[in-house]
Amino acid sequence: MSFRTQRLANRFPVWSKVRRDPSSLGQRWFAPYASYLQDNDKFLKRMKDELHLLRWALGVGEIWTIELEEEDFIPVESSAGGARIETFPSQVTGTIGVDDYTLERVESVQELLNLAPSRVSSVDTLSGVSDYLVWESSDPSSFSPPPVPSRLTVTVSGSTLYNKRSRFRDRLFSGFSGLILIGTDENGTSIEEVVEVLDDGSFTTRNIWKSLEDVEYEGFNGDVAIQWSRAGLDKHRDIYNVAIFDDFEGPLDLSLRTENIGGTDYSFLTFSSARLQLGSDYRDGTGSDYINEETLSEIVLLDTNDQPYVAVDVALNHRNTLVYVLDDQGMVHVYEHNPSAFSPPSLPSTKDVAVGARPLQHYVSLGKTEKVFTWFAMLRHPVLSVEIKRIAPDDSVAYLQGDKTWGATTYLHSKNPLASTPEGSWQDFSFETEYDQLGQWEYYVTTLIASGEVTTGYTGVIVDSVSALSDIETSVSNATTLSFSKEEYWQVGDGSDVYRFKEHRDLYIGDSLNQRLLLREEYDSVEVSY
Amino acid sequence: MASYTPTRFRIPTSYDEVGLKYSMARLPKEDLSAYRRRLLLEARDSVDPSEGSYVRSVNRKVGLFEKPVFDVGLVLDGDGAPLAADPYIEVTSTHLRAYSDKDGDVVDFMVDFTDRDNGWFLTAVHTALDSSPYFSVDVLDIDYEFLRSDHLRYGNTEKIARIPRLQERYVNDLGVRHIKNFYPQAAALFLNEKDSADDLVEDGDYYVDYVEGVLFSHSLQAGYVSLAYREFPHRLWWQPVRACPVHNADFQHYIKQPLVDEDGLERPLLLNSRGAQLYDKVLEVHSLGWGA
Repeated sequence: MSFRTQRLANRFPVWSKVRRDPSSLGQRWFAPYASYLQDNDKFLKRMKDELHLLRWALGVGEIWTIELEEEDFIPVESSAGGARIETFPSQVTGTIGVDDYTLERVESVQELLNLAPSRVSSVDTLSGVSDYLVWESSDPSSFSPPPVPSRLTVTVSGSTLYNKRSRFRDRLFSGFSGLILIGTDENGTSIEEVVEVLDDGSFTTRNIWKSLEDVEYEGFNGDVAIQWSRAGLDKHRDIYNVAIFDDFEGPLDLSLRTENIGGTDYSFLTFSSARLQLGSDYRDGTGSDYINEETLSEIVLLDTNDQPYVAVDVALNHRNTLVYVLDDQGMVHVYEHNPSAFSPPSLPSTKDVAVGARPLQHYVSLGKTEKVFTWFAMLRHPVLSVEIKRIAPDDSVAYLQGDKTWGATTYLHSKNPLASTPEGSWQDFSFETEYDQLGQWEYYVTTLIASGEVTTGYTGVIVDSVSALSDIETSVSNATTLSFSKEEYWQVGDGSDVYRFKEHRDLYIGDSLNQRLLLREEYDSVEVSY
Repeated sequence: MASYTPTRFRIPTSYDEVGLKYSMARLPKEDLSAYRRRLLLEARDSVDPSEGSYVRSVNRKVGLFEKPVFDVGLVLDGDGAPLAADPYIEVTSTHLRAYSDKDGDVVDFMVDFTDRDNGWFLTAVHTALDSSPYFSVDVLDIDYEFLRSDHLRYGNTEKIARIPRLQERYVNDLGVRHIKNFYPQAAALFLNEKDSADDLVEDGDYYVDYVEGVLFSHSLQAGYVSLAYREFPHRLWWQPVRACPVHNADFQHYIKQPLVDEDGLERPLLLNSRGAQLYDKVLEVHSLGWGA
């Protein structure tokens, strides 16, 4: 599923199941279209940035090619129906020095350029880099130049006050809230950049800085720290996706959290956004600010073998819009990060539902205990009995008992014996589930109503996880930070040095029209066999 | 099964499109990061038909980058004024000359780039600057020591500025320091130059703090102002490919042998081996360059 599915569902009324329930048939049906929309949106966002000299993604400027000799020509035949049948090499091997790499065939240039990497090569090491700090407001006269020209990341934190021109006591406020950075770019040319800051957070400059010489800021009273990479930030703004809830949309923030559950450490990638309350004065100097972060979901990070690990830092690659997560063993895991799609339910449900179930959240974190509420939907039909059934991801079945615990035997919750009206025949209540398994949890509420009709309502909850597209060893022990350089190199820091790597993926496209192979990487030599 | 050696296959990118606008195509084997850097340089310091621009832009055309090596500052007295009466630094085709008083033609020191013993490398330039009583030096590139000094960018500290519009008030910060000459547009407002801001008693009186670059006047100021000033701190750049004029006295002495002319004076008139080699190359690519 994509983040955009909920946006399509939000075209429906707030009360409708399709809007409220990601496990509904409607949202499952929207999901492929939303996924297409999301890809398209990312593409448009990248295209909009494309002619900007300081665009976020550097991109790929060259690939490699070999012209096949006749003995290695790609055979082309026509089927009886006229279809073109190409037989590509069974193995293509690239050699660099003494190392051989087997190349994987892809069919499109998009895949050739943007698939997740499978290996890295060392570029250089920046020695004696214990932190990334360039400047901080607590020591304003001290500037530490970046060891290599880099984009700067400004972090504003701890603000209790943002000036507002509409506030009487701020009537002399200029209206500008942010920073002006002055320094030199990688060519030594003097540059200035204005960073608008409307709320605390981290902001990255477009410019690439060789030195920072002056910082001016106004409009807020928080602390400012400027560093030369996005490493070690609490939150990363994913500019290619949007956090979409059933009642609002906001910028998508990514963050990491690690928790020990049942003796195993799990790391979560949290999708969240900031929600500002209507009518509330936020960061107005009173110091009584509310927590406005709303979590969309938390997904468990797994490696390619579906094993959990301890994540220490996360970074977003602008070229392929994938998320890279560094673990505490110095390994980097690459993800395509989306909320998981709901699968079709295991059991059938009825079109009409007398009593249904509504979970507090449809995306729940592993190890959490969350409430589910019954919901009496057809008030005109007196309820006789209700059975609440739960199927866990491991296919174990449990029934809600009278004491609201889960048991293996079926239990019928009876109607309200004192009811005199149909709507009084069922009193809604809540019950809890401890979500201790990854995957889709299903709830079925089967209701016998006075007419003799039996209805079954279904809803689902996902304890979400994501498996890595690739795991790549950097061999940096005690690695703590991960970021990307202006050349799109990985920068892995261990608190004393920063190791830089270039990522690779051994891919080729077979071009039978021109009898050549297009290669993603450079090799000393390439061998082709059929 | 044959073994192949892959060849580079360049993918067109939007940087190439931007490069077309700047007439700066991506060079063979140039990676995108370096190309972006060149384009940024061109975007921020576009080429214009001036000597200074030509000197600055030559490297980027061939995919190389200048690097800043020294910042030269002024040694100040207790009042914050420079010890040098009229400080001036110039990098010519073959020399760096530092004047403590340019008007009085007093040279503090001179480094001859052609002197293999004491001037060939930037170490000599640094030593001379560091030991000067008038100039201070900050090292910007620690690997300067064995870079050849005749690759220092040609130029000097004399700059021209134009203040587009003076604010309508009695004191204006002109934005530059170490002013040499002051040319106001509204001449009627600046008739009598005084020695101090305290001496301004009637309309037309004005005082220029030449060191700090502040203009005081008795009347409200207006119009624009042109200024000549000495740029300090002055940044010295090292160029992988150096562009400098050859038709100047320094270079003529370098490439020609002196002969006694009809007035009995020694003048550089006969090409020496260096000059012959140089002009041979010039004529090879530009036969109309004859006549130097």
